[in-house]
Amino acid sequence: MDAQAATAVNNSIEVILPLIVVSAGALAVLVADLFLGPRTKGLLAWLAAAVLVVTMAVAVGQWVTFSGGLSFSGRAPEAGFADMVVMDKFGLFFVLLFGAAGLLTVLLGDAYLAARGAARGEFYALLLLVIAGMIGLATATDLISFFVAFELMSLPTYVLAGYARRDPLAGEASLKYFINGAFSSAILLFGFAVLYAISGSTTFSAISAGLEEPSLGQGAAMVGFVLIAAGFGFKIAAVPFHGWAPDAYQGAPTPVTTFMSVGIKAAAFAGFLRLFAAAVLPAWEVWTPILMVLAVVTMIVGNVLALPQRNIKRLLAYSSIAHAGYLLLGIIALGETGDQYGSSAVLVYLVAYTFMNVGAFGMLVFMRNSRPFFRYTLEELRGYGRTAPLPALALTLFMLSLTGIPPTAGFWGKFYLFSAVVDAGQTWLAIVAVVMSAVSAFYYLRIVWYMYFEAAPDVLIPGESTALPASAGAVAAVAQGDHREVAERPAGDAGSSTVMSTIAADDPAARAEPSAAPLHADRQPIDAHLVETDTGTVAALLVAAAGVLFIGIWPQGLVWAAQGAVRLLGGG
Amino acid sequence: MPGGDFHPVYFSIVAAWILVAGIGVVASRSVVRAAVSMVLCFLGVAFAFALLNSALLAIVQILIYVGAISVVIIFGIMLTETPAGPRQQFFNRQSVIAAPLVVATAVLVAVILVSGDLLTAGETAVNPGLRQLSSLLFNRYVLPFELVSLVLLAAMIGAIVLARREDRQ
Repeated sequence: MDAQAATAVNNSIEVILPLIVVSAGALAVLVADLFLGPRTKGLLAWLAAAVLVVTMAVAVGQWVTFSGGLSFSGRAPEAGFADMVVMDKFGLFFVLLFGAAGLLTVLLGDAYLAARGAARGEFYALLLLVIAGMIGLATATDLISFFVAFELMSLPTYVLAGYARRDPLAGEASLKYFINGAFSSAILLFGFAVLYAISGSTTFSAISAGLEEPSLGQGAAMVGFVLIAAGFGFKIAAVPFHGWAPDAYQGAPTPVTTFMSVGIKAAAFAGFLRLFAAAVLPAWEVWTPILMVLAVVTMIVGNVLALPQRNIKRLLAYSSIAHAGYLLLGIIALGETGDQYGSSAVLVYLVAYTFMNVGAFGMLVFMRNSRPFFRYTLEELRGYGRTAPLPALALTLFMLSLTGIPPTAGFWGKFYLFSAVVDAGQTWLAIVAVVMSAVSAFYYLRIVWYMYFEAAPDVLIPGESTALPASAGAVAAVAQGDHREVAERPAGDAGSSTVMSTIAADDPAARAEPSAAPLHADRQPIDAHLVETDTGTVAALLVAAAGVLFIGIWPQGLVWAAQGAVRLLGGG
Repeated sequence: MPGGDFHPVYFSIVAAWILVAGIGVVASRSVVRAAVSMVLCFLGVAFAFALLNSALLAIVQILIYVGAISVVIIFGIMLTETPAGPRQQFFNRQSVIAAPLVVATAVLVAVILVSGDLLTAGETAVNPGLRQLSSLLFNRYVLPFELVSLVLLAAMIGAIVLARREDRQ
């Protein structure tokens, strides 16, 4: 018995190999942090990146062992730890996606954190732990392992959201996210308890079998699925569970916001897609209407509330809410038809969304790094197209992709999702989605409009000087640093130089007038000399832009991979 | 009912105790009183477990919640300053809308769940002996068990990151 159990565990190790690599990597980062001095701390980013690369390599290796690589046929998914987790193409697909999202976040975070002098070892350790939780979530086949992985993903994220401790907005972001997250976890757990009570098991396959029984209590199932949908809705910021998202997205450090909006969302969709496909598909008549309501309300409210936003970070938060609504369409299609076309559409969309949203938020990081007083407002984008043509072009590309205009990744993502829901006979949902995409074009393209068609300001906007930090010394230091930097900078970066010299020109006024504005870390001058090395951010942006264009021009490869990934997911 | 006989009278007493203590946690104006109410609430839950014949859960509840967690929270209150700001900012007027909603939802869920024909608990759930429980933890549930240690690690690092003194360079 014991020997048998031991063999079972040994066989199971392979199943959770990516999880082991990431968790061990998190510990390695923590330990390495102890031995590195302040000058060598930069190595930690490389270590974290290396861990993620190894994880992805392991996942690719395991994917290939499913015979035929990208082809549909493959070896059966392998369950491990008494059906707690499974290793299949679906899980591996998401390991690769999480690895990519993590790598891009490391690239974005490096310069951003360095510029703020934030201690960095824990940042990467926590990030890797989040990714471990995400991998656990995407491979969980039991409610128990699902929930523990869900918590492993959530807990470090609350801390990452509040990582910029000098910024009161970050504190608010962290607290709001934490309280909402804790409540939603409890609600989700309650839902799982009800699901267990009506199906008699916590294992996905056994739940599926249990729900086939005709004696299913419909009322109890309804309660259970409403609770589960609420827990799910909180995590993906679906309306009406979205209240935390704008504040959390705005207050968190931008690299963390990026990761929250792509990584956490993808992981939540991965876990719940498997739950819906492999466990509760027999009860689709109960949960599909709930998700329909969620999807419609989310698409409408997310897009409409994004319209009046003047703060780009906040605008992107509402846009992220709206995209969660589109994504729900794929799960609805799965429920309505029972086949996996909807699931594969969700996977395609998540990959496209990862690249374009990392690009959009990455542009904010880039602008923030190159202009110390950037406050993420639309007005500051005036004339950006003329002063910084290449970054403006990149931002335009990401905005077009988020709108869903070909030939970008966003177009194909929406195309497959909407056609999945049309195939499922719910054309009205697709119509709502298309109309709302048209609404979204207004606020996405307004950003483009501001960059190209609004004149650049000669002087700072009125009120800007009062928003500057009160500390005269800091302002003077930055101004000096900027003068030096302006002199040293290559001409190509004229955009940021313009703003910096305007700030310098405005300096005496700022010094004379003590500010009443609250001191945010985001408004504090960052160490100007650190901004010069921004290669990480630029690399992340290049990868994101390449991804958006590549998928936009040749979506077929991604579609094949996604279809292969969902093929043995369960259901039809 | 799991755990053999169900004593409605005793259970009502314990349930009322838990409710009163729980309301005390959220309604008291002093943090220390809230903490003490919480200890009482935890104790009531332990009694509820004992009433349902789950001796193990009752013991765990007392050891971990009544013991460890309460002590940590009271230490936390002792070591941090009591916020001296205006109290109003901790309370808003939404309770007028929230309270009826909460009560209605709770009643609805309770009615549906009680009237629905849910499965009855199996033997393991009714009498989880220490031996079976540990065997389950280290065989069937070994993966979640290990993942929990990662969760605890993450919580520990997170607490340190959020609470430690800012290092100025």
